[in-house]
Amino acid sequence: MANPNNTAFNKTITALIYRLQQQDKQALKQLYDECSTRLLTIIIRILNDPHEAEDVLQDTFVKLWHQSHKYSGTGSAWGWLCVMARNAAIDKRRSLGHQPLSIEEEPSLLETLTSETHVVLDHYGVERCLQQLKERPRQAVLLAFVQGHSHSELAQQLSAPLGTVKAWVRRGLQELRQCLDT
Amino acid sequence: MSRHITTHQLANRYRQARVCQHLAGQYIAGLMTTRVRSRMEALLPHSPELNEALASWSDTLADINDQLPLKQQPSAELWQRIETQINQGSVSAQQPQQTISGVPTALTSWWKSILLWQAMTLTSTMAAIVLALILLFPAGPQEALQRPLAVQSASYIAPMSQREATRIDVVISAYKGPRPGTSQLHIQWSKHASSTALPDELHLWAEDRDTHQLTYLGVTNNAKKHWTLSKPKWQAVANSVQLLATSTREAPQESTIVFTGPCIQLKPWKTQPKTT
Repeated sequence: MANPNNTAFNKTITALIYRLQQQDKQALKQLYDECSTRLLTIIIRILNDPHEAEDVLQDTFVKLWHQSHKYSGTGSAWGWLCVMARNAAIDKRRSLGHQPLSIEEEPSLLETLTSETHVVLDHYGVERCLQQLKERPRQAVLLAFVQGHSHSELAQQLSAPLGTVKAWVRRGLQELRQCLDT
Repeated sequence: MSRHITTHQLANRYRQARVCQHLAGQYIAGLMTTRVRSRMEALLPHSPELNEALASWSDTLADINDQLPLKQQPSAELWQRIETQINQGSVSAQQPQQTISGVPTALTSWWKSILLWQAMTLTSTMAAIVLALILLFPAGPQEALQRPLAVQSASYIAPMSQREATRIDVVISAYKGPRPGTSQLHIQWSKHASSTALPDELHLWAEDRDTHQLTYLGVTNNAKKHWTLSKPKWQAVANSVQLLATSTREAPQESTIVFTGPCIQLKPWKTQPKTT
């Protein structure tokens, strides 16, 4: 089920990407105004370095200017943009050799996404389905999604064998998808 | 028999929904190495199933991120850095390469002379092709005629979709002309729109944000995807809260409205006061 609060935002972003495909510079500025803070948040959560995060955001917008034609129209343009920023942040972190944030450093992350209050206030698909996952697969999926943990980093963070962590992620993703599709 | 497997053949292996979902989930969760991720990206144009699965997971990732509190705003000068880099990129792309890295100077000059001859040959070939095209298509392709306007910046855009739908089928862009009566409206269909059953003609209207009065803007069809707006019609677009597309020329009714979309003003590339 789509969150109606995001529908207008998603439509605007998609329309701006279509304008960008026509090399419309005003559309890029508007896009920056609309979503640079949201994208910077995604990048900071992965990099944990505001200065490097700004560099990645800059690279993301320059790449967007040159590669907007790669948005095929399948799925939301906002989702496509989130993935582009996220991949850039993960690549940067790998090149710098930085470690991701630990659970202890940002304890509110999992609570924010899965707390009872949050679910009651906003009962749209993702939160409801995350709530239904078992604790460890949910932690693994969220740490990978939000903070860009690799399998080995997850194993270290969650103090579990690599094979077990891979199984948690696989099961978590499967159950999340099944729940979202019903 | 050749053991070489093409990307297309590889993509055929990824037609199963379960496999696509698994790969897309791993991709979005950032659990692939850079090399594996690149290989998957190479498969995407050849596998609609994988593409759909990835889009679905991308939207899930976006939903999760949208629920988290914002960290901080970018610094004030970041936009200027982006703008400068893009503008410098445009200039450098137009300039010839100055050096060839890693090649000794003497060799460079010899190599440059080869490049010069190659460039001249290429230029001559391109000129011949352009000449042939001009002779074969004296009126010029429609797309080429539209290009000068397309590279301008739109002043307003309206992402249009069917009622209650989230998918955008068409984007209407309004370009302000240098003089009254020279502004234009352009219609840009999304790739999905071809799969939607549409009437032969769509009539466009602007709804005033204060009075909700409707102004007729014109009709679009396969042959007509842009037209000039009179001054009152431009004002109607500038003052509109939304645009509507109907299947008939009569005043819009529930039964005749095909698409609607909010009319959004685009901010200037450089910070400038509103000019409308």
